[in-house]
Amino acid sequence: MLVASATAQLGRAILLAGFVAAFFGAFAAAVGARRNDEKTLRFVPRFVVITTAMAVAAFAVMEWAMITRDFSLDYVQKVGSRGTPALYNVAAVWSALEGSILMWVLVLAGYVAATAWWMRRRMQEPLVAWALAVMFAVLAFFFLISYGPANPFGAGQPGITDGPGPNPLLQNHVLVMFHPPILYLGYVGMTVPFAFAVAALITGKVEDGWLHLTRRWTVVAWGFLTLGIALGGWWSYEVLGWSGVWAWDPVENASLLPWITGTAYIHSVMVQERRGLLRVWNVSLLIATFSLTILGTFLTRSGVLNSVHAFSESDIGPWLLTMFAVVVAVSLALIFWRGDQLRADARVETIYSREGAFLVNNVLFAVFAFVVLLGTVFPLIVEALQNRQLVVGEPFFDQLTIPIGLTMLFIMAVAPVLPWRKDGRGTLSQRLLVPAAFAVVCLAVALLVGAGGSKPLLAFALGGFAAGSALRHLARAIRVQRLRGFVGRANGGMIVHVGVILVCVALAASNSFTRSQEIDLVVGRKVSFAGHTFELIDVIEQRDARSQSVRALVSLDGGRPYAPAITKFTRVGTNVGTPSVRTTFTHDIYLTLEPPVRQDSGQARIKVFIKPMILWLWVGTFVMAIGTVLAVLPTRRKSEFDEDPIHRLRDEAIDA
Amino acid sequence: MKFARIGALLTAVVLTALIGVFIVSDGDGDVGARSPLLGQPAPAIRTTTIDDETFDLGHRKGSWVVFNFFNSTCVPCVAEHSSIVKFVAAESSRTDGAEFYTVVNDDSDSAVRDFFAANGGDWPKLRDADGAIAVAFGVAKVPETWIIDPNGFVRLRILGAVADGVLEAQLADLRVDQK
Repeated sequence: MLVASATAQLGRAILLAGFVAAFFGAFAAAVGARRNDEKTLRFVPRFVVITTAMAVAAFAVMEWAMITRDFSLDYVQKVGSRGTPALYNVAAVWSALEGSILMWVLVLAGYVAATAWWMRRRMQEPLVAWALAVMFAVLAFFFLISYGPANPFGAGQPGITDGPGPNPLLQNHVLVMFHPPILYLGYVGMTVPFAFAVAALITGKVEDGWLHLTRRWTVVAWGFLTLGIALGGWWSYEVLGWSGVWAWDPVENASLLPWITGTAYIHSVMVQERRGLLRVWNVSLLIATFSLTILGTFLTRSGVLNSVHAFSESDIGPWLLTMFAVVVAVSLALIFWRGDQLRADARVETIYSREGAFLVNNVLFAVFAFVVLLGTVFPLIVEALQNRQLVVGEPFFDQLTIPIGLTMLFIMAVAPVLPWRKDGRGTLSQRLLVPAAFAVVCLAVALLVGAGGSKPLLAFALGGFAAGSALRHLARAIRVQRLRGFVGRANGGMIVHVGVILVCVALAASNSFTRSQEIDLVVGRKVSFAGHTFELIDVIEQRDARSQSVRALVSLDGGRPYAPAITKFTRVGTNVGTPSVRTTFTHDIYLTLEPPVRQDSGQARIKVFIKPMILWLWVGTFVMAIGTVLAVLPTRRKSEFDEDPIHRLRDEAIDA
Repeated sequence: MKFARIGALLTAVVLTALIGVFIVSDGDGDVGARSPLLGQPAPAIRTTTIDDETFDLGHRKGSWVVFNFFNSTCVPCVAEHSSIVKFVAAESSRTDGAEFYTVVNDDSDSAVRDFFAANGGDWPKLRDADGAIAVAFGVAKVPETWIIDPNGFVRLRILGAVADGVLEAQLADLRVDQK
């Protein structure tokens, strides 16, 4: 029997208290809402305070144990080390399963507190109370798995005074500080709109009021998710040394799936707000988004799928699968029950209208999500039915998702110029004149710089087409609204579109036109490749307590040296390559050092990747983030979608 | 609305099937790791031991072969050493005992000799000076342990340090499969 230290006991007690508080919070909110009992509902804020305090305390105790190198904890033995630099040591808390579940608890408790604060004057309304009940129930579940199968406060083997430290890949770049927390802010944030959707179904308040309540939350969570995914791509590019940003790895797919359904929702919800259509669909999308975060966590944290991110085997698989099943079963039963009330009063009259375009957009997103989900779980299905292992790789995803992406670019160009409710075919050719000009210019520029191949050229042309459409909207909005033409859902949304287009075009360019070659370098001899010269200056070795690294100093075009390296983390026995990148507006030169390499040998083999337009990938993401912020900033109107005739006329003036 | 109800039912059916698949998939719960080489003939390996004897994997057919990728500075390699010594001792007492080889990963002959002199272990240590064996097997991180059957097919890959009894149990399972 392992003796638990005071820290371990404290941590576990806090988690248990958090679970109990969340459970009773859910209970009080649900009972109060059901009986319409103000007295019971008055207890709810107290439980919010307790769960938040417990979540913060549990996380703080864990951080404290990590910072003080408290090796009495099993978790600290696994990911802690006396040699880990302070920054990576703080991040070590979320570098493995138990700590990342703890972070989930912290973020979710934060969202519960934020929701309760934001709704503090409306706590008595059944819709709000039920939404809090749902959020408390989810929080109780995560407290429970953190207390049970994924407990970070387990007692460790006695007598251990040092550990291996976090996975070397997680102590190589400052991005590990930001990528997981931001991703979790997005992932977990999807609980808020889900809770309100379920609450709307339970209370029967399926009119559109709850949508207005949650729209900003959804957009903010979506923005965090976008940023988190992009930071993951950046980390992959800067750290992993294969020069790619996306590998269709199961964990990447797990974060992409809720992003896809969330994006679909952000678009289709406008159809509901404006026309009262697609109600079942919107509720389903929110439920799907939330369930996919649970399913993704199950797939990647239970050990059923292999992935660079799959931390370790653990027993939380059955728990998460049960949670997924319960969420899906309850949600479907609610939709089944309330289906009648969700009936829309109107229908989409013509596909050539704004709502028609959103419908097509949603079909595309649904297919996209299905393809990604199928590719991710297909190996499991085959394994279950035929007992053999198989890998679904990049070709599958590329073949199916590239056509979807190209079609989406086309819709992105057309949809913003279509009018609501009316058949817009008559005015289409006139309104698409500017976007078409953009498309032609983009295509011409691409051909001029020597791009070839039907798919990339199509991507560039359609990218120009869509960008033209977005910029046309923005130009008109600025003319009518001045600086406010950047703010609000439609205008901010168009800025997000510009970011998306930049990302798409950069991906098309970098995936289609990357050139790479292995080059053997000898000190003092220049080698040319793709119009650049590479000269080895020296091979140097550096040692510290936790690692020894060899780096090759390579002068690029006679300029300052770049230093791709291989670092051996001796405690773990892993070699980690560190690429060195020169970034310019047009292309990146990405250098990796290839093993084996010896110090003082005067030679080294490097691999060179020339990757066009990578910078624009990050610029595009930044633009998306800015657009998201602008989209959630309040506009002057009370509601963006009131049918106020003046504003409607203005909208039409911008569209026309 | 009819569509909502039919949709909910259909979704329920599909997801139930999917959840069923997740329940039956045993996943990677066992110690073995995935590799495209599993079930395939092992890569041809010719090298020398640190005592300058030649080694050819092709000549080892007829026996179970265990490769352990090793580096004397890596902490988990050191940690698993006593378990390996026990395993090799148990195998050498069998008539069909497995042959055990350490594949030296990015380390000098002298460092390896010093390590084995200090910690025991009297089996051949193979040189892999240019990393070709590690590359052929797809080894990025030591220690890794691989088991190759008497027909020369790769049967098991274990990532990381092995604990006491793990290799014994895995090899026993493989021997049962082979019969």
